[in-house]
Amino acid sequence: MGFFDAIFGKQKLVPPAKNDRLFAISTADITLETQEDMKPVLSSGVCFRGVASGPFKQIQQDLQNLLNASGDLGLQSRPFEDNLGYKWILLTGADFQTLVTGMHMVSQTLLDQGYGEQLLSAVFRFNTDNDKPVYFIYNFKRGMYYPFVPRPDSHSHQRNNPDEMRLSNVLKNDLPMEPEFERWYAMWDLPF
Amino acid sequence: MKKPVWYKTDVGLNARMAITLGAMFLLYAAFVFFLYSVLRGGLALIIIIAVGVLIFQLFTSDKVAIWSMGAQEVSEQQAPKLHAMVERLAQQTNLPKPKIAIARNGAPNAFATGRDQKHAVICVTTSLLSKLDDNQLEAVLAHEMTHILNNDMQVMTLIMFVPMLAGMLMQFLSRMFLWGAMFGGYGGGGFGGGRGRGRDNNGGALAIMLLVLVGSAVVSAVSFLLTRAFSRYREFAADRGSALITGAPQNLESALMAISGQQVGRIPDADLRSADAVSAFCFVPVSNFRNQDEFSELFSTHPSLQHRIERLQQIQLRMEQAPRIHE
Repeated sequence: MGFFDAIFGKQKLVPPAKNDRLFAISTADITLETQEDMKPVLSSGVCFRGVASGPFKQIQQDLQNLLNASGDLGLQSRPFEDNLGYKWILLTGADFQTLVTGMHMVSQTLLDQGYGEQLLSAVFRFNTDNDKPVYFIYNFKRGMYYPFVPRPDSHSHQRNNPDEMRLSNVLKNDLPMEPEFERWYAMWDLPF
Repeated sequence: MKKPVWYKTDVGLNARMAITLGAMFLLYAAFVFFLYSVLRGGLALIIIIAVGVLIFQLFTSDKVAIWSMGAQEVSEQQAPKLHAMVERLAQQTNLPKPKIAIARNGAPNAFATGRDQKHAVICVTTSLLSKLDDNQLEAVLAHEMTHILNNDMQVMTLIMFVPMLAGMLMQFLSRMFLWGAMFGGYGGGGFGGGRGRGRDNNGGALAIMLLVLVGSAVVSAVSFLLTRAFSRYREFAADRGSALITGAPQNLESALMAISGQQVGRIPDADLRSADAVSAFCFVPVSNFRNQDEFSELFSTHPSLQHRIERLQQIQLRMEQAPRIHE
């Protein structure tokens, strides 16, 4: 924070969003596939809040144009609003690499349009060898990932902490891992 | 015995235990020598009393601990799952199956006690049983089984001998001073033995008592820190044992997390989106409060949650990498 910012009380209330380390999930993918027998699910999402519907439509439009312009990447985007009032851009891609690139494009578009403070998280899903979901959540404010493993067939919102801790340990060289467990917030009822 | 490929002796932990034990031994030897040089024959009496108390403590430890927790021994019919788990662990560790007790208690906790491996008791609280799933419970029981396997109860009782001796002396002497102040004169100064003679008997006895009192206080304080440190190392060793027995350190990690009373260092169940407005934007990082634990850890019998998890994760990482470790 600069001197004049301090004088004029322009302290930033929200730390700036960081999306540069989003790409680390590509390295993690290799470890997950070879060591854990997991497969990436080829749909993912960027979650953000508090964007009015007018600008949100504009963002969608810009994004779709961008994705179209990037041509044969085979990325599809779709808007979504969850029941907590948060907006999502859901992406599907032909392969995981493209999907990660697409997720970065989505977050960069939001950043470029000044919605950096609204950016919350990017979520990737993997499936275990018996098709149980494992999510990796990237927190834009922290610039770090953490695992989220909901217990399957439970609507009581329970998570599998042992598996989460094990995965974070396995991937700690691949992913910038959130070191403070108390920040590993859940994201229940994800749309993918 | 052939160890699995990922097995690695924790040299650091062993070294720290050895250093602490060495420091304790030096301190205790110095103290006993000091007592002998001032008290001579009186020392034998004190040691006999202290040994008596020690043996009494060891033999009643299981009953006292269970009684003080308000726990009750449970039969196989009353707690079949718990018995089955403990039985499996006993087979695996080649230990006689310990008795099992359950305490109705609000705090999730477990402990093992008993004078030897044949008379061991594992006690768990009802709140522990309700907070943990089966895997986590098994991990905690394996931790307690390791305490039994390592004879921790006996080792701790043994290293507490000299601090207990010092404590007894301190209590006894401070009472003597109190009485002395109340009734005037020092009642012949019982400890003086044959040293003080003639007119300066009282003065000499007083000086000796003061010396012993100060010495005991110093030994108590230093040995307090040493025994606490040693206790923490035994906890790390028991965590390690649990990891090796269950083969899944993550179960104990998450169990420790689930039963820790604090929010810091715990994985929340709350949703990121609902927490977003408050915590995710919170400016003061929670980690700023962490370091306060470092100092208070010096005085506690158990290492901090953070340190225990760190160590378990190191073990887990080695287990995960086992297929790629080439000897």
